Amino acid sequence: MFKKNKTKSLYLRNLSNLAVNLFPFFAVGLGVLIVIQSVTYKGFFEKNLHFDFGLVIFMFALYALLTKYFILSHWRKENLSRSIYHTFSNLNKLVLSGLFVLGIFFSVMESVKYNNYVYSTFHVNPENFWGLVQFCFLILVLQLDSTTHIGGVKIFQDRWDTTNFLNKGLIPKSELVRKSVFHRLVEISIFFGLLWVVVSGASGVLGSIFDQAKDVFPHPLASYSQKMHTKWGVFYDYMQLIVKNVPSNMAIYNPPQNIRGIEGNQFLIRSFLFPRILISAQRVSWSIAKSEADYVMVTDSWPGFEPPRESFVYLPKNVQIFWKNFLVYFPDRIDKIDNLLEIDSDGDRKIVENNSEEKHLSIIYNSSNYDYWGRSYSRNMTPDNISVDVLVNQTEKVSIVAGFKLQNGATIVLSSPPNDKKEEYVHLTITNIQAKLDNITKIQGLPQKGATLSFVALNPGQVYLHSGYADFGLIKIDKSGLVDSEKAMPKYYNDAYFLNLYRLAVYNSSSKNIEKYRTLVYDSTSGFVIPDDEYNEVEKTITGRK
Amino acid sequence: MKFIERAAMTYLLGTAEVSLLGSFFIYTKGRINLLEFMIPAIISFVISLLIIFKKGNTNLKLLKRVKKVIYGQLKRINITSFEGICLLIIGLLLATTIINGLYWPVSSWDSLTLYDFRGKIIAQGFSLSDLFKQTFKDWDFYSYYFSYPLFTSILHSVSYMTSGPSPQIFYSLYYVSLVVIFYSTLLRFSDRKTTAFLTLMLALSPVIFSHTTIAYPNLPYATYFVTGFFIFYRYTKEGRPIGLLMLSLLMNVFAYAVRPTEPFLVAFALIYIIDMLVSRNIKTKIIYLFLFFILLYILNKSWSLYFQREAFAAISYPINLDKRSSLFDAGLAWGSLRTFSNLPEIIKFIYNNSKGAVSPILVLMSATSVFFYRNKIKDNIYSIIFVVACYLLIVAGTLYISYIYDFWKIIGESLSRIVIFIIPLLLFTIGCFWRLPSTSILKWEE
Repeated sequence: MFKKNKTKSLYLRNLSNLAVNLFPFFAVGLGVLIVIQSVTYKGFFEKNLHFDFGLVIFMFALYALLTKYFILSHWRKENLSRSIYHTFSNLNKLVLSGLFVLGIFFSVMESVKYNNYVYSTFHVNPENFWGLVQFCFLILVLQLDSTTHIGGVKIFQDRWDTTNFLNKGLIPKSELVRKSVFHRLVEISIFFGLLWVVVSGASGVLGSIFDQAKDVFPHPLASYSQKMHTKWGVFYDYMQLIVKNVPSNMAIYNPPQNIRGIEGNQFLIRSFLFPRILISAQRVSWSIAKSEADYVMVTDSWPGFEPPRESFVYLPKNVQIFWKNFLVYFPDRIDKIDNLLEIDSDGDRKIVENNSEEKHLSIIYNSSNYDYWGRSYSRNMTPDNISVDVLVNQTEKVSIVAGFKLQNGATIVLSSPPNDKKEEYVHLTITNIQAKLDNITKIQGLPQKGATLSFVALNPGQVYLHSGYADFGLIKIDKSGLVDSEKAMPKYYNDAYFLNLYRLAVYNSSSKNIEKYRTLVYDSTSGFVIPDDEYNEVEKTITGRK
Repeated sequence: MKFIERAAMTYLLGTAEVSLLGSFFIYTKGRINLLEFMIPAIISFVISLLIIFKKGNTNLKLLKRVKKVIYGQLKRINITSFEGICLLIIGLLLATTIINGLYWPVSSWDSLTLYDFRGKIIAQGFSLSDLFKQTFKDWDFYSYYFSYPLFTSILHSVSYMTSGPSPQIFYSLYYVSLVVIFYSTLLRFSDRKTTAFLTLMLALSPVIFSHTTIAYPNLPYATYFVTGFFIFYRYTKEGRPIGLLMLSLLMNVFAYAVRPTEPFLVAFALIYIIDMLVSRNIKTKIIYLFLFFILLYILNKSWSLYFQREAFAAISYPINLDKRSSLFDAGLAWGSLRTFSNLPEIIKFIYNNSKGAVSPILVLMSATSVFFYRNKIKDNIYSIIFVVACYLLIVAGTLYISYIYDFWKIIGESLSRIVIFIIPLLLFTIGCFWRLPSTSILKWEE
């Protein structure tokens, strides 16, 4: 259409020379920007240089369409094959094939290894990297024309009017009329737009397929439980633990949803636990629920009270301990403990390793209330101080304990707070031993004189209900209705007072707003063990508040 | 192609038959057993036997015919490489989703809590009212299980009762049906290359594909609803045979049975009434429309009767229910609707939440193709009216919800799942207007 107007045509021809020859430079420039984005992060340019990257891409797409238009309307084929544009397009094919292989490699590595693997190893953001592949692909698509061959067949070869017998009568006549270049460009740009949607959608779908395939192909005959474990992880194991341990006609008290989003979601857990009756702590207070429920679900942040306990089970957990400088300070001497012996345990556990050379202890627990590892004593002297340095793979797991045998046969066990950090050495110590001993005998009404030290030990089997000793557990409520004094004499008297103090310390340090946490505890339950006035006292001492 | 299309349609009709008859037993008895589930299968078998024998012996030489058809098809295959690549990728995608469907159990959140859970307890011989005790007589927990009709739950329970493959396979097959029906319908109105390309777009749409891995009723709904429209479109183009009209009405009834809360039936009713007014046979069509509404009423009424009986049967003491009826809601909404103050906010909300499902480029491209091929608008007026009406209904529905509930903004994810049916509709519209650029378009200007 421009051939009719010679001067206009000349002007346009110069413009088209400029546009087509500059195209490769702009493309490379934009490519570099995309590379920068893929090694940094999405939104890098918006943040640092204050320009919208999407707009740049859009402008470039318009420019690309303009270039295609110029090539179609003003360039002869032999001229084009000598231009820089031609060299650039050949180079692009080479780069694209390389990048495509690399992109697939990244996607596969990401799904086979773990999330963020590619970024941490190669420092390339795979999602932005796909953007580069898409960009090169777009340039390739722009270069497609009637001479492009794939596998010996012309890609845009069109045979539909001879083969499609269905459509023969349906082709409107208007379509057979020769169209203007502008009209053709619209057709092509719709094609590019749709192709863009396909390519960007494809990476999402491919990612999803890879994600699924990495689980399907290694385990084609996996059982239902294995598949559900793949999807839901530890939560599914926890539900299976409950199914195994709770008869189907029993009632379970479950955490409130505002504290435990998943384990507290009754709709979700019911789909695993049906037909067991579920009572939500969000809607029913413990004072009502304790007569109705048979079991209480336990998570690391709930419950904030101590249900009367008949039994306790939880998911198997491997506890790994490294220890050193295990010292007992007597008034007359200092004992150093060099190897740990098994003293006593009520746990269902498997000992993996007890190495006194490397000072390493590894145990897998299925359930446990106490598990003492250390040295037995028979000394009438009370130590001033006991301390040890331990490195544990979980927080709130290991404490040191000292057992004192009384004349009536009962044993008092004093305990240190458990380790508050994991994967690093923590110093644990019990101080003021005599004062604590006096205190606990007074509270429990036990004979105050003649306590002999019977053991000093590490205790990885302690139940710290409120501090994440077990991520997921299940308590069977003791419904005998007997108070402590009516029960058979316990084997060990733990320093419950101290544990409660510790528990409060954990509460207060983990929560910035004490009042808020306190309300939470009192709102969701009414069975908190410490009386209100005592709570205030303790709170004052711990926080230094008035 | 015809055979595959029929298989896809059969799947849609069959699942609906099983679900609706299953619902009937549950509505009347409260529970269902395997024998009762067999009844639809037996009925279908008897009907197909009757059809085969009535037609004489032509169908009895089925094997010979199938052989002939396949041989004939193979001989006729004459595809370009572009079309071949598209079809190959589509085939691989369909195969992948079927493998996934056979392998994975139902594991997505909402499905586990509601749709799959109800299927499980029905399969175990419980009725929904048994849940009253299990929820510790908590009305809020209990009534949740009545929030949607049982359609997909019954499919799940069939799978559990027969200890067949995981119910996830139903969703894979809905995806396959949608793709197949889209392809076979568009092929009637467009060329093979364009059809293959647009079908590939549909199959590669991440949102629709992701619905094969989660067991939500949105995909079955989209499949029934879109199929209903496609059949209606064929009906308007192929000399208006009444059978196609019936089928499309039936598909819309099924869509209603899956998700009665969606307002998009109005869009269908709109084009139906327009067509009724411009074409002949108006009396018959009014009767069909009437029957259509009666079916919807029966579905609605049976569910609400069941809900009332089952939900309240469990309760022996009066419960303070929210007395607001839906009519009241509608009146309230209509009162506030006049202000339209939320409208800009709502459009922004819809844009934000539907752009993941419906790519803005896709909308732009379909608008462009309609604009540039204006000469075809008259031929395809129904699809344009339908898509525009659906969009308006999305806006109106969100507007309505925003007046009723304060928490309307948190349902964004739900909205993005609801609008997935727009994707095949947009692609179909593009396919009706636009053709893939052919050789002559990309030729050098000599």
